[in-house]
Amino acid sequence: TVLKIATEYPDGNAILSELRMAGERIEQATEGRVSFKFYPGGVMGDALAVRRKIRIGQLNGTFIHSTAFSYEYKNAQVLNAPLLFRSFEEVDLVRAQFDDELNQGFIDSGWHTFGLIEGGFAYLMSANKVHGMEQLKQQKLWLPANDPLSEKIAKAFEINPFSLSIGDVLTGLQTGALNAFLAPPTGAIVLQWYTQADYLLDAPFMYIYGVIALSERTVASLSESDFYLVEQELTALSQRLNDLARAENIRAFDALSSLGISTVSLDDDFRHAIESEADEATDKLISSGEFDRDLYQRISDVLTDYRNP
Amino acid sequence: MNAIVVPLIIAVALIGTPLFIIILAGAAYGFWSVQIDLMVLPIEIFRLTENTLLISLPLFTFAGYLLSESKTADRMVNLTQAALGWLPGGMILISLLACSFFTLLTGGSGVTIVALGALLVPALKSAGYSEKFSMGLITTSGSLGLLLPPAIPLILYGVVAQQMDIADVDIKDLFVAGLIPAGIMVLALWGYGLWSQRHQPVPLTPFVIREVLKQLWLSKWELGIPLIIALGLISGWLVISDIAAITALYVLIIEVFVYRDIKLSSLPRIAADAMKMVGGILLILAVALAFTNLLVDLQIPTRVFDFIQAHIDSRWVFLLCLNVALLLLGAVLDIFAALIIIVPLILPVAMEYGIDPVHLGIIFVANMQIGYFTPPVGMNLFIASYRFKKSMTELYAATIPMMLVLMLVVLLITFWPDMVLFLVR
Amino acid sequence: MILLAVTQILLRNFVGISLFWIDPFNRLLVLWLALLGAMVATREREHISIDLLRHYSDRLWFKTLQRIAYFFSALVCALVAFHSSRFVYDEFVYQTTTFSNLPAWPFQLIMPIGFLVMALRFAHALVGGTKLTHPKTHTNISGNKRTVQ
Ligand code: NA
Ligand code: NA
Repeated sequence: TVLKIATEYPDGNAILSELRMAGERIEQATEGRVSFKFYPGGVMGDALAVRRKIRIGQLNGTFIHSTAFSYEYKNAQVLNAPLLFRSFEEVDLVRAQFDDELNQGFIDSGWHTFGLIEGGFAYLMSANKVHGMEQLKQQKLWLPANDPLSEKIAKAFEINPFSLSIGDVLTGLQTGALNAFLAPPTGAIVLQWYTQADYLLDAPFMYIYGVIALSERTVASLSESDFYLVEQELTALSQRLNDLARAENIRAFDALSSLGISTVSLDDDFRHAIESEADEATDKLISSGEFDRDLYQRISDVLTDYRNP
Repeated sequence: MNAIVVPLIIAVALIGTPLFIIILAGAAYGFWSVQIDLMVLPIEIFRLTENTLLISLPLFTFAGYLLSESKTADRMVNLTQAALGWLPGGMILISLLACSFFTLLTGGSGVTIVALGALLVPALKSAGYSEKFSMGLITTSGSLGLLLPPAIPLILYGVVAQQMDIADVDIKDLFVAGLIPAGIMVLALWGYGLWSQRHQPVPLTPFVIREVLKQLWLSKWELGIPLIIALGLISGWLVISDIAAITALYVLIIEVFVYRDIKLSSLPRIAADAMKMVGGILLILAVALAFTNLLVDLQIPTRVFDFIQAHIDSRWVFLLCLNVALLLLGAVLDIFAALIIIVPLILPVAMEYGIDPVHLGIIFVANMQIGYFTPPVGMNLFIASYRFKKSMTELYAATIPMMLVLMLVVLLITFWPDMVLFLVR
Repeated sequence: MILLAVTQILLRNFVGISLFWIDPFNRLLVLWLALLGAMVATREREHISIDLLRHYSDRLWFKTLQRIAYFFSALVCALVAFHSSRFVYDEFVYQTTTFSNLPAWPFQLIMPIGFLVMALRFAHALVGGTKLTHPKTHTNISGNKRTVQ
C-alpha cells in the first residue's frame, strides 16, 4: 500500500527530509508492502480540504496542527488555552504527564496519532511597544481568518482583531493596516513578518502543537505486523520532529533579537492583568464547550504546584 | 483505455464543448483511472472559497463594466492624445503601463483584462490601431507586471525558497531584480506595437498645454481611480479587497451621478452581465483546481523535473529545458500551485549548476507570466474571450506574435544573468 | 457585496471592529457567484469553448456534432451533480461548520443544484431546445456573447 500524506510544511527543509527518511525506513522494514508519498506545501488545500480528502480516501493521513481535529476531539485544544504556560519547562512538565492521555484521545476519536509534535509558542509581535492591557487592546492585531478557536479567544479577550487570510498579512503589515500579530518566532522569520515588527511581548500567548495522523480506515487496511512497524517508526519520527522544533524555536527566538526586535518583559501589574484576562477567556472557552473543565483543571493544578512549591 | 478516452475528450473539445466541461471530464477520468472517489471533484471546486483574493474579482469586474459602458474610453483617448500624441505609440505605452500597474495589484488572476480590457481595446482602436492588435496586446498584458513589486508570485517564490534552508533569497532583492526585466517587457511590446502597426494611420499630434489641461479637467473624476488605489495602498487603510470595493463604489457614483453616462435603470443589466462573466471565469478557475489536483496527486511535475535532472548536464541546456518545461507547466497549472510544487524541485538542481536563486525566481515568474496566454489553455485567453466576445481561435492568432516577443525577452533574461542581477549584487 | 465590503472597511477603520463573518461569507458568495453565473451562461450558451469549426455552423453535420457536445456536457454535469450531492450529504453527516458556527452544508447546496440545472439545460438543448435552430445561435455557439445593445 502507498500511504499518501499531506502537510502544510514546505518541501526542501529538514522536516520534509525527516518525513521522507522515515517513509523509506518503513518501506524497507515492510519489504515494500508499505510506502509513502508526501504532498508538502499545502498543495492539497487547507485543513478542511485535507480532512475531506482523507474522508474519501484520496489521502491516508496528514502532519497538521492539532486544532484541525477539534471537530472530533475537543480536548485537543486544551493546551492551546491562552497564556497557559510561562516557559518550556512548564510545557515539558505538563506534557510528561498528559501526552499519553491526549494522544489516546486522538486515537479514540478516529485519528491514529503517534505523539504530540511541538510547534512552539506564539508571541505577540508589534510595531509599537506594548506594556499594558490598554495598549494591547489598541493594537491592530491580526488573527487568521476562518479559525474558530482564535475567533473565540479574541472574543473572550474582548479584543477586535483584524481577520485576514495569511497571504494578506505581510501586505497588511507593510501598509500599516495591521501593526501586530501572534506567531511563533520561526513563522515570523520564514514569512518575513518580523521585518514589520520592532517588539516582542515576552509572554507566550499560546502553545501550538501538531500531530502526524493516519485515518482509521488506513490503519485497518494494514496487517497487524506492518502496522506495528509503521507505528514504531512514526512514533520515533514524531519524537524527533518534536525535538527538532524545540531547537528551532529557541534558535529563532534568539535570532529575533539580532534581527532588531526588542523583547519587552512584563511588569507585575501587566502580567497579573493579562493572566487574569486569560483565565476569564479560558473560562468562557470551557463554558462554550471548547474543552473539558476537568482536564483543564488537572493541568492547571500541575502548573500551580510547580509555580508555588 | 487511455488510448480511447483521451482522444475522445480532445474530439469533443474540438467540436465546441464548453471548456469547463472538458477540464472536468479530464479530471474525472484521471481520478477514476487511479481509483480515487470522484467526490474529490466537488471538494476541489469548493476550494474556490479558500482564496481571499478572489473576492476582489467580482468587484473589479463590476467597476470595469461600468467604465466600459460609459464614455471613459473616449475621455482617456483624448487625454492620452493630448499629453502623449507627439510620442509614437503613446496609447500603446499607456495601455501597457496601466495593465502592469493593475496586475501588480491583483496578481494576474485575470482581473486586469476584465477591469481594463473593455476600456483599453476601444481606446486603442479609436486611436487608430487595428482591432486584432489591440485585443492581442491587452490579452498579453493581462499578466504583465507580475515581476513588479508587490506582486504575490515573487513574494511566494521568496518564501518558498527561504523555507528550504539552502538558498538565501531576500524578497527585496527579488523586487529589485524584477524591475529591469519588467521594463524590458514593456519596451519590447511597445517596440513590437510600433513596428507591427507601422502601416496603420495613427496620426501624431503636437503637444499643446492648453489642450492637455482641458482634457485633464474633463477626466478629473476618473483620474481619481488610480489615485484612490495608490492612496489606499500607501495610507494603510485598505487591503486589496477593500480597494476593490471602494473602487467599485467610486466608479458607480461618478459614472451614474457625476458624468451621468449610465442610467440608473441600466444598472441591473450591467450588474447581471458582469456577474455572468465572473461566474464563467470562476467556474473555470474552480474546475482548474480539480485538474491541478490530479496532476499533483499523480506527482507529474516531480516526474518532469526528475527527467530533466537525469538527462541534462550543461547549465545552458538545463536553462533552456527549464524554460520549455516551465512554459508547458505554466500553460496548464495555476501559478501558485506551480510555485509551491516546482520551486522546491528545481532550486537545488539550479544551484548545483551555479544559477543564482534570485535569477531563477525571475526566470520562473517570467515563464509563468507567458503561461497565462499560451494556447490552448492560458487563463488570459479564456477571460479575454469572454470580455471581448471573440472566439478562442481569433485570440490565438492575435496573441501569438506577442507571445513570441515575450519569449525572446525571457531568453534574454535567462541567458544574460548580469542584466537581471546587476542592481542586486 | 460592495455594501458588505464597504461596511467592513468603515467599521474597521473608524469603529475598530472587525466582523469575523464578513470575510468567510464573502468567500462563500464567490462560490455562489461562480455557479449562478455559470447557470445563466448555460441558459444563454455563453460558455467559452475551443471553436475551430465555427465557420461551418450552417451545415447539417455541425448540428449533429453540436448535439454530441450537448450530450457529453449534460453527462459530465450530471456526474458532478451526483458527486456534489454526496459531498453535501457527507458535510451534513460530519457536521462541518463555517463562520459563526453555522453548518456548512446549506451554503454548499448550490453545487449539486447548480450542476443539476446545467445538466438539465444541456439535456434540453440536446432534445431540440428551440435555441438550437434559432438564428442567433450562430454567434452564440462560439462562446461569443450576444450583443445586448
Ligand atoms: Na498559468
Ligand atoms: Na493556466
